[in-house]
Amino acid sequence: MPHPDDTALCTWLARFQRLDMSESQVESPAKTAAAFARTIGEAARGLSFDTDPATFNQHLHALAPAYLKDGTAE
Amino acid sequence: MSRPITHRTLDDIAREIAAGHLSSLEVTDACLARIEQVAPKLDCIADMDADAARTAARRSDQARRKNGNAGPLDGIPLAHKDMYYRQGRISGCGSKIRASFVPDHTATALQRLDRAGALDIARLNMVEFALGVTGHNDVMPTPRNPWNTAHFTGGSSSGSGAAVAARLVYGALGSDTGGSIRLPAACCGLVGMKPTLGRVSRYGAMPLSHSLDTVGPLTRTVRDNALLLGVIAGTDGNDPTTSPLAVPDYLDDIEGDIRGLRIGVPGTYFYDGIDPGVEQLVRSSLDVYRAAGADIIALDLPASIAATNSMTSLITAVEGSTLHYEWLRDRYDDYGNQTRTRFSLGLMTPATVYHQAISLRTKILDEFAGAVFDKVDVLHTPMINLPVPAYSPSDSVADQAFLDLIARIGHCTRPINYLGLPGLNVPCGFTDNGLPCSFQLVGRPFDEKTLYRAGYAYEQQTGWTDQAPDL
Repeated sequence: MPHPDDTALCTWLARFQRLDMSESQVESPAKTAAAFARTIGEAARGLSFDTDPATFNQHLHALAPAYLKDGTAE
Repeated sequence: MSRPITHRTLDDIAREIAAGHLSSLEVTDACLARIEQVAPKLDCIADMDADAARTAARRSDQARRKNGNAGPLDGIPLAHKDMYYRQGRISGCGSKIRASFVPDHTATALQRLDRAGALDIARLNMVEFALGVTGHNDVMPTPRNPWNTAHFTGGSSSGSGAAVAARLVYGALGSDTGGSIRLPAACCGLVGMKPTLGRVSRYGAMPLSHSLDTVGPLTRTVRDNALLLGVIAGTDGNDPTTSPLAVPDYLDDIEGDIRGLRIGVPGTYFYDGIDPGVEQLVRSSLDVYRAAGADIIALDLPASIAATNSMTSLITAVEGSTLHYEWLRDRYDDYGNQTRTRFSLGLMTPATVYHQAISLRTKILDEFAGAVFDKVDVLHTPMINLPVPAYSPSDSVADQAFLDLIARIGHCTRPINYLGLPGLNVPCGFTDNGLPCSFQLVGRPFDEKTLYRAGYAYEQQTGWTDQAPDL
């Protein structure tokens, strides 16, 4: 499976997008994408994925009444 | 001796106009004269029509004489980041690509400011497509910091920060996806509020990241900020992501006692890598709170907070590159180097990684809320963990060092976007290089009111926001 720090893949992606990027320009985003993937993998450890991401706003709303005791959330 | 008109607060000017001691035309003329004198040094104005501003001020004065005050901002000159659409007027978004874009509708935030009587006298320069934390713009003018024009304004609401700090206008809208209100507020010595996700409508605001974008004000004082947020906040049928929760009166009880307010201080993450001079100023602000009777409580944050900076950047890049897909393909050369490099990161990110970052959000918010808001009312953190840097020729380079710098500047701001929580920037002094330094107050969902009360209490004890740059 291709990995995001594979420069050849990134160059191919860039050409697919018709982005005339030199390999040096491609390198930093690719490295960063790989670092992000690692970071997120670490963050995910011990957490389950049982939440629909579309509900995040509703989740903020759900938290508000529990925390706002002065009635401003009502 | 009373201050010059331009150097008074928004709240003071609103009272003076309402009482008939000043006309909107007098105030607008003062702002226009200040702009003529100072703006060329700062590159913060994208466009302004002085005659149109005077005409609007005269109309405001006539309407007030006839019908009374239109609202809490009646006759007050404001100006906004050049990404808020106004029907029939160019909205350039800090870009070449949208330099002549004329929207066919007006942003809800602008409509609400209009209804409150405010004047909109200029479009303010910004970072290209709001994607940048330093203030640098490769393709349009880069605003300069009024405290020292060699230094960053912070971004992406760079012109908003410079214009309000330089006393050109009394307040400005910015937008905050990863820190873009709070960072220019911090760099320019202003108060900046990133509201809770969903508190302010985004209708008619240029989108960057639908999961993270927020709309909020930059002002000189906490009270001014509360006044502006009260006008623009609230549900909007044109933006289904807005909250139906009632908007409280942010000014009511803003002067309230903070004795017993529980202020949390993180023992992890937010102080990582902080400059000693910045740390000293930020921690000193806690002494002010302690003396005012607040309870200062040390907190351990969940380890997951450390991943939120990266995930915010990733989500922004992916959602932004999706919006910009066609232009990235067809108009690649019209982007600045840093902007296209950061958007390219989005093109190279696997969908699975993006979905992980989005899916973890609710879980990490739950962890954070339990660790923080079960114990305290407000979290107190640094805002930028180094003194405001100077611009340099290397700012246009898009290498790993640049990506590391923006990660450092966004270290304390991006987690709050990821969590969707409100964050308030409060100035707390000046570092050895003479540039402003600030701390951040983070609140419970939709509890901007407590942040204003806490920010106001500090401001009254210290007076940092009374200071203006010498231009």
